[in-house]
Parts: sequence; structure tokens; C-alpha cells
Amino acid sequence: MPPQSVIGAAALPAGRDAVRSSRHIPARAVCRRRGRPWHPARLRLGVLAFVLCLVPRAAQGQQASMQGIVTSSSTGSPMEGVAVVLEAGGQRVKTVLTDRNGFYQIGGITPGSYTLSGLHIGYSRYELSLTLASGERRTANFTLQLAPVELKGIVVTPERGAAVRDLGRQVVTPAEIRAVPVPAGSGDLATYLQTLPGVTTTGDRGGQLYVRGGTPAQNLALVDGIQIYQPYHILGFFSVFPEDLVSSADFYAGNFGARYSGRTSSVLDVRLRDGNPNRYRGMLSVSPFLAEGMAEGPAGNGLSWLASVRHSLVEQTSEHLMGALQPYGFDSQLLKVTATNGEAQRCSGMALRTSDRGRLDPAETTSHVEWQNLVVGGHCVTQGKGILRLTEVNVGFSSFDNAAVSRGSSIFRSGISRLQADAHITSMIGTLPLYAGFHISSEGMTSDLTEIFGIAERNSGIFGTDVYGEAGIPLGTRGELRPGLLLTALPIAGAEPRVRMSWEPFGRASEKIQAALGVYRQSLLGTSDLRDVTNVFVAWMTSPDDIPMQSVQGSLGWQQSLGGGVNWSIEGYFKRMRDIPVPAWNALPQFTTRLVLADGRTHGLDARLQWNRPHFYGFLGYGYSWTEYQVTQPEFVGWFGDSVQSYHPPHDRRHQVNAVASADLAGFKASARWQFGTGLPFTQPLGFDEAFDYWAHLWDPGHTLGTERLLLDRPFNGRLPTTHRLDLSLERSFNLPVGQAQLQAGAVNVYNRRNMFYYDLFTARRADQLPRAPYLSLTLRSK
Amino acid sequence: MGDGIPGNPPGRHSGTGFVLPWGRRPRARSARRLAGLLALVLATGGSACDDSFTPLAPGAQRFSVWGYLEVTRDTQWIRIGSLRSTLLTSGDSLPVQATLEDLTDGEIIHLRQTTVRSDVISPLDSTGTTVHNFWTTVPIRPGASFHFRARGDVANSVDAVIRLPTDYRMEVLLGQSWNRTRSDSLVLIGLHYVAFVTATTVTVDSCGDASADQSYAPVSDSLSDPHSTPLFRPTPGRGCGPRYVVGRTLSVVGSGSMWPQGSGSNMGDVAPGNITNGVGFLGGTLSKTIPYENCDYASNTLNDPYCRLRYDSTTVTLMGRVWDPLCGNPVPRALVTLQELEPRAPEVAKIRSIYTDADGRFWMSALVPAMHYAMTVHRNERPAILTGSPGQEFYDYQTTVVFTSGQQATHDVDLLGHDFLLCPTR
Repeated sequence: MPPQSVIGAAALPAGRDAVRSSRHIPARAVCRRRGRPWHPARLRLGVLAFVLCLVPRAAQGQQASMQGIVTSSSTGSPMEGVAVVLEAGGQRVKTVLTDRNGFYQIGGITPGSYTLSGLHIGYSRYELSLTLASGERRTANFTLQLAPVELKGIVVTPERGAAVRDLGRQVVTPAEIRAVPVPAGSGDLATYLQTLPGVTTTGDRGGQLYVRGGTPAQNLALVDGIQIYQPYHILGFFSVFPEDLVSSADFYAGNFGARYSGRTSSVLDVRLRDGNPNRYRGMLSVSPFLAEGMAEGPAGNGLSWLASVRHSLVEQTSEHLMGALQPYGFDSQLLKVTATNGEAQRCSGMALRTSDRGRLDPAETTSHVEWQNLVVGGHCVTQGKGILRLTEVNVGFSSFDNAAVSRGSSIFRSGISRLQADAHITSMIGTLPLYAGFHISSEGMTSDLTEIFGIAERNSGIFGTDVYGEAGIPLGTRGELRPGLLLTALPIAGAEPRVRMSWEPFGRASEKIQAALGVYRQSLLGTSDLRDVTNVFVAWMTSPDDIPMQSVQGSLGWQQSLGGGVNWSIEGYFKRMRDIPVPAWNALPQFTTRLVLADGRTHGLDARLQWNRPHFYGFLGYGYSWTEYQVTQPEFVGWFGDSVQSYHPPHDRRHQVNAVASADLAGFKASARWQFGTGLPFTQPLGFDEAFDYWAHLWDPGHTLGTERLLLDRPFNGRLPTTHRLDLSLERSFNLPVGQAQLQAGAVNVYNRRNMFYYDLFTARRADQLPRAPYLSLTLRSK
Repeated sequence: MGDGIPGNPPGRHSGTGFVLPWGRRPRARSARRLAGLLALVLATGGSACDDSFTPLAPGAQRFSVWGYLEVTRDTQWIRIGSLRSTLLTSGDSLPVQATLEDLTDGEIIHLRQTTVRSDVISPLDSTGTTVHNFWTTVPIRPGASFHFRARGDVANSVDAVIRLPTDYRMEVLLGQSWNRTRSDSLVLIGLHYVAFVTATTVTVDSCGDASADQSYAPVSDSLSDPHSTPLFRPTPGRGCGPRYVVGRTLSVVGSGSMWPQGSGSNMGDVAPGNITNGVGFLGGTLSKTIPYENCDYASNTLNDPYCRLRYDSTTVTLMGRVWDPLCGNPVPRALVTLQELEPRAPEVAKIRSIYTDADGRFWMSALVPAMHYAMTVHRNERPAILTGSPGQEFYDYQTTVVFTSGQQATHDVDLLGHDFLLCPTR
């Protein structure tokens, strides 16, 4: 049972200053010995002093500590971002925020009487008076009640939004997802992510996201802790994460912590919403692009469930609405069951299936691409009893199969399946938060690449194990240093040190410097034909010669809240990538599984400005990125005179601007999104010629015809035209006896810009993606 | 984290009001800058409305040139085309002047153009394909070098240097029965580049003739001189009774320069070749095809694992046909044997043998001039229906032959049968 809420302040055992001084004086006293000349003995003492500076309170075992989980009364789910404040005599002693599991922990508390408060916007304040004894480890779980009216006085809410990140982590909430117009009844995480600087797409179709110079195969996507290989649908607006299913998502554009392994570019860690444990609810929505339904409710004995079905309709409606067939289709089905045992234990099981198919060139009826995901997994969070600890365990299976048929002749198939088990512990030693865990996985890959001139089949598998640890080391009262180490035993042993830092130079939490530096390795490779930016086929394989891809990446940024709901941030980053597998260059446009290893460099800058008011949300993002690969191939010598060629890969979008605005106007909600991107690199053809194969025959040109072929120039020496697009939507909600109806009208690509396109070099035919697409959607939500 | 509420708006957090580090006026200025930036972005987006797309790499028109100069051919053909933006070809003649300049004496050979409309229809061009052939009948000699040049109307030109190999010699080493490996070898003497070598074996059995090829890839680097290449005796696999090897030939295409390496789907790996300012390949070749029959020593006194056959301008080639004059038919599967009668000591007599093909023809080469050979033609078959057991159908033919240096000799043989009433039906 959660402790009873008590409104009012408790008596203070000591003032705020007394509490602070008891914690900090010993450490500072040692640190101040820096001014003397150094000699070896003093150097050793200095190292010891430095360690003591970083870990000043770890050994103070007589102090008390607390932990707890905060849940919402309306959903029964853990609440992230709740400010848990420990006060003594009206003075704040300590404030921490709950994490993604609603978990908080406070260490280094001087024994005495305190008031513990829990605060979150939209919820009533929770207060608890308590007295902590020496060495006591108190667990205080509590539930926040929804507040029908806006809170007066201090409104504590962690700043959220695209311009706010904490140690590289950006928390995406359904409300932010909703602010970006999508031609469907609900927002979608895929569309939202595309508005972020540093995130690039190479087309409106295919659902490939490139983050800060990385490729889609270098991104890690997790759904309730289980990996999903392709979380985006073939129509770029949509992912398997619609607004109604997402509880929240953590997005790292780079420099993620040691908790995440096996990828080098970005992390998208999505937590699905639990089903409502109190009542049944449902949602139905239909638009020309999509029909979807969602239902949830209690199942007794602490169980709840959530089910969702989505089916695309654009293939059936596009000819009428857009004047051109959009031959794409996708389906997805999700079922999630959650079981809770108080706040201390929560387990969920989830099954997700997706299926996508389509023709990237609508006119080429003999070509198509298709893929399927299947994800089944379980996720358990358990709070320790009598000790400060939260344990997360994930066990799951994930598979991904994709196939591409080109002109009825070339068939490529590739599949990958994965069994995984991982555990993560959040704990505390003294005042030092510790994060540790391990991953075990087994992945099997198959590929069947039948080409005109032969067949290449490959089966392989890898077994992976790693352990990691991270510590949250306070930097005085103004920041935190989060060093971590990931040690991989299999498939290729190695160490990945990573460190992240947050620093408040002026002592105000609204102004932060954030920096990070780390090593990242990836042994599992996803290979695509880079020459065709619309090609979404991915062949998964192990790294050649057991050389893992590796990157060293760093970032330095500043973020600031200007008040009035305005936040801005700027962050520069760099990456040095080694042994990136890329398809070998060939003068002929054909898919190849021959890989060569490239070295890459990326640097860039993200700038974000966000204005968040009760009736207005605005976001402006600018991303500058520069990525270059360097490849050595003997074939280059004959064609270009040098075996080393440097080029900008096809996702190297130099400048990108995104503007999103959403406002409530006279009962309507109007949303707009404008995006602009400079052209992406592509490999220009030299032209067609007729060639003779003189390898084993002296074909006589006087009496025989050669073979027609298309020759390509240097890799990625051309740039596609710039792209820009405006999407608008207008929404009105109506209250119904059983719930709410939401009518939305809008248009994608309002001024009908010819943006990304498929270009058939053999026929000189251009197939533009996504013309102007008006839509009308209706969504019904039960109470 | 430290005390305080992370992310709390500064004004509220401090309770004393909020002041930007750089004061209020710059804040207004930064707002104007922001508005200016937004206007700039919008203007940039608005002006970037050119969505036209030209996929081809910019630059002068390039030519694609393919062909080779072959010493043994009467007419030399070179295909010239321009790199096109589509698969479609133009029926017009190519506005190109092509020449070959002999780098030894400076003589200019003007190549003549022939435009050919082929009926071969590409998947995307139902009207056929037009190609442009440039040709000359000027004799090409071994060891010559030429500068090829093609000039177009728009001042672009392509060049290439074509080098032909000097005349070269070959030896074939045939493994003897006491040689454990029994593998054969080809030895090239005086040749630095090989385009390719093809070994062909023709067999005859009750189902008829069959042949199998074994190709050897070009060697990328310059060859050592002499250069030895192992040969494998390909055998057509077919189950139609006893098989007789009626012919083995080696086709060697010697090149004056490095030969392209790619093939089939790997054609993209082929470097643009030796065409300056263009793509393609122009080679110079001297092709030789030699018979590659059996050779055994009459005795093993030398203990030489190989029977060596030397092919050059002095050795003799013998061709002929074995004929059944009574029936008026060629005699297939007859064993033609030439045994050296007076080998120069300490050499041991070589026995050369080959079976006649379905037309009764045989071909033997690398015979030594001035050497006397005992020639025997033997047909060791007799239909069992007559005798109850297989036997000899024809009388053996025996004679002595001698050749002069470099001779291309012909020797037809009439083989008399035991019973002319047993003429086979052809």
C-alpha cells in the first residue's frame, strides 16, 4: 500500500544549510589542497583527492536513503518526470525526477524528519511527512491524482520538447507527436522524428531514417525493451508507433549511454502505453491514408490489455485524391497485456506484427518490395525490498524479413531473427546512482540474393553477450558526470567507454552545457544498395573478417530556457567512423553483396527553438551536417586514377530546416509543418554504351553486337534538387454522449512541390513521390 | 543532480525575476535576427523551386570504343559509339574521323565507317539497334604499334595505343604414363601478355561428336618468358559407348598489352580500358590455334615425364582424310599414328596419334621437318554380327612420310575394307 498523503509541512530537524554542509565540507576540504607543488606522493594523494571529489558521499553509510515508484491514478502506469522533493523546514533539501519507470531514489539524507512531495503538472500535489533513522532505507511509493483544475503556486514540471535534452536523451511524449500534422486520425512518431534536426530521410517512402550521418541499420529501435528492426512503414509518415500507443519515447541522436549496445548511430527506445486498468476505452479512426482501431481495458486481477489494428488505405484512395496511384500498403497488429502487483512490480507481454509492401516505382508493375516484422516480448520491472534497487528484465524474440523483386528478374531476400534477454539495475551507493546490466542475444541471418548472373545464398549467426555499468557522479551542485563502460565478450570482444556530462554554469537548471564522448561498436551489418536512395531493401549480415564497425563520437551543446515557454538549444557533434561496410562500387548499376570497408567522418550542428504555450506550440529546427566516406578499391585506379575515393554518402543532407506550429483557434486546432532540405548526393551515370566481353572470346565487332550497359561515374558525385514541403491540418473536436469525435481536414505537400522521386535511368522516366494529398479524417474516442 | 528543479523556468526558480546573461536589448535584437533568419529560410525555400533533374554527369560527350587488331585477319573492325543518355540509338552516321597511325613508320591509316542497323531488338528499343563500325583491310604485322585516334565534331577526341605481340612460339608438354601427375603444360615463348587460352577436346562416340572447352583467364601482369601454364584435358561427359578423342586444339590469343579482366556481370569491374577520354578497349592480338593430340615415347629410356611438342614456323602441320574408296565414305574413329623413325640420339622416338573425326579427318602438328615418320592408319572395329566377335574391319594402311620445314602438308588415306558389301549407311 502506498503511504498516506499528508498535506502540510513537517517540523525541521535542521536547516538547509546544515544539511548541505554535512555533505560537502569533507570533500571540499580535500579539493582545496590543489595549490601546493606536486611531487609523486602528492600526485597519488591528488588522484585520491580527485576520486574523493567525484565520489564524496559514497562511503557515508550512516545516512538514510529513499526510493519509490510514482504512478498515475488515471492509468495506473508509472509516471516519468515527476519532481520528488524532500523538504526540511520549508527548505528544499533534495529534488529528483522520476525516471522512465516512475522510479526515484534519494541518497545521503541526514537522519531526521522531512516532508516528501510529489509534483507534476496536471496532478494534485502529494505530500508525506516522514522521519528517517540513521542508515534507514525507506521505500515510499505513491500515486498522483489527476487535478481537474490548473495548479496554483509553484508549478513544477520538467521542461520537455524538442529543444530540451538531458544527457543526450530527448523524451518524446504523445502531445508532441500530436503537434505534427499527419494525414491520419492520430499523430505518429515517425513524422515527429523527421522534424528533428540531424534526422534525415531519403524519401517519402520506405521509412528510412538517417541520424547524424549514420545509416538506418546503425539505429537501434526498441519497443518495450525488445528490438525491432524496421519500425517504420513504407509510407514515410507512419511507424508502428502511433500517438495512441506511445507512453513515451527516449530518442538519442547520438552519444547514448552504455545501456545500449550493438549500434553506432542513434537509439529510439519506445515504451508502449499500458492498457487502462480501470475502464474500457476504444478508438476508431479513418482517413484516406489509414484506418485504425484501438481498444483497451481491465482484465481483472491486476491485469489490463491494449490492442491495436492498423491498415493502410492509400492504395485504394490515392488515384481519386492525388490523381496518381500510390501503390503502397501496410498493416500492423499489436496486443499488450500488463500485470501489476502494487507499484513494486509490473510485468507486460507484447506481440507486434507488421507487414509492408509496395512498388517504389508505381509504373514498374514487375517490381516490388515487401517486409514483415514480428516482435514478441516480455518486460518486467521489480522494485527491491529493503534495498535501493530497481530491476528491469526484458526477454523477447524479433524477426524481420524483406524481399525486393526488380523487373521480375532479380530477387533479393534477407531475413534476420533475434532472441534476446537483458537485465538492467538502477541502484545507489551512498548518493551515487549506479546503472548496470547485461545483454544476451542470438541472431541468425539468411540472405538469398538471386541475380541475373548468379545466386548468392548466405546463412550466418552470431551470439552476443555484454555487460555495462554507469555511475551518476554529481559535479558539485551544478551538474552530473555520467561515465560508463560497455564490455562486450561476444561476438567480438571489446570495450566501449562512454562519458556524458551536464553542467549548469550559472547554477540555474534552465541553462545547461551538455557534452559527451564515447566509443561505439557494431558487429551486425545491414547493407543496402546506396546508389538507389529509394531502395529500402536491407541485407543483414555479420561484419566481414570479424571487424566490427566502430565510431568515436562527441558532442557539445548549450540549452536554455528563456521563460514564457521558450527554449532553445544548440549542439555541435562529430563522429569518426571506422570500418563501415558499404557495397563495393561498380561501374554498372547492379546490387552487390560484395562489401568494402569505409572510413567516415561526420560533423554537424543542431539548433532548435521551441515555444510552448497553453494554446500554441511552435518549433523551429535547423540542422547542418557534413558526412564523408573514404573508400579504397583497386577498381578505382583504372576508372579514376586513384584507388582511394572520398564521397558524400546518399544521406548527406547539408542543410535542413523544419518548422512546426500548432495553435488552438476559435475551437479549432490548426497545425502546420514546413520542411526544407538541400539535395542528397547520388551517383551520376556517364551514359549507355555497348560493351564486348573479351574475357574468353574474341567477339568480332564487325559482325556481332555487344552488350548494352549503363556506366556510372564516381560515387555520389551529383546532388538531387532541394526539397521543401508544407503540410497543413485543421481539426475540430465534438463531444458526444459516448465520447469525442474529432474531425480533421488537411493536405500534405500543399503547394505540390515535386520533391523526392524515383528515376528510371533505363527509360529516363521520373516518378515523383507524394504529390499534393488532401485528406479528411474522422476519429472517435470513447470516454 | 544538484539541488533545485531541473528545467524549471529560471524566473520561477530563482523567485527574483529572470535576466538574460547578455541583458534585454540583445534579446530583442536576437528576436529580430530570428525573424530575419526565418525570412531567409523561407526565401531560400521559395527560390529553390527548380525541381528539374538531369541525371547524366556533365562534361563533353564521350566515346565508347571496342575492338582489336588481329594479325591473322584480313579486315580489322573497331566499334565506335557515343555514350548515350538513353538506350535508344540513332540511325545517323557517327560524325567521327578515325585513324590508325603506325608508330614505326608514321603511316596513317584512315578507317572507313559502316553504319549497320541490326535487327536485334533491345527490350526498350523496338526499332532495332544502330552501330557504327570502322574498318580497314591494311595488313597488320606482328610487333607493330598503332596510335588510334577518333575525332568528333564537338572537338572531343579519344586516343589509344594498340600494341601487337611479336610472333611467339609454343610448346606443349604431354604427361607420360610414368609421370605421376600426367598433367599437360603449355609453354609460351616470346609472349608477354595472353588474352586467353582455350583448350578444346572433341570426342566421338556412338551418339556422334561432342566437344568441351577449358578456358584460361587472361594474366593481368606481364608474363615471364618462357611462361608455363598447366593444361587440363577436358572430356565431354556422355554415356554413349566408348569415346574416342578425335581432336584436341589449343587456341592461344597473344596480346601486345594487358587484357581486360572482367567478364559477364563483372564487366563493371573492367577498367575503362586503354581509351583516353573514353571508355572501352582496343587490343592487338596474334591468335594461334594448334592441334593438341597424343604423344608418347616409344620407350622409357629417357625417363622424361613429358613428351614435348614444339610449335613454331619451322614445324610441320599435317592434315588429311581417311576414306573408304569401296563404299565412298569417310572413315571415322580410325587411329592415325606417326612414329619417328630416326630420332637424333639420345632422343627416343615419339609416337603421335589421333583418331579421325566423323568426317574421317585428322590434324596433327608440331612434326619435325626432315624426320622420317612411319605412318599407320588402323581401324580396329568390325561388326560382331558377321564374326561373332569384334575384329578388324579395314586393312591397315602403312607408309613412310617426311616433311620439309614449315610445311602445311596434306595426306589423304584410302583404307580398304575386308568386305565392300558391309558399307555402312550414312
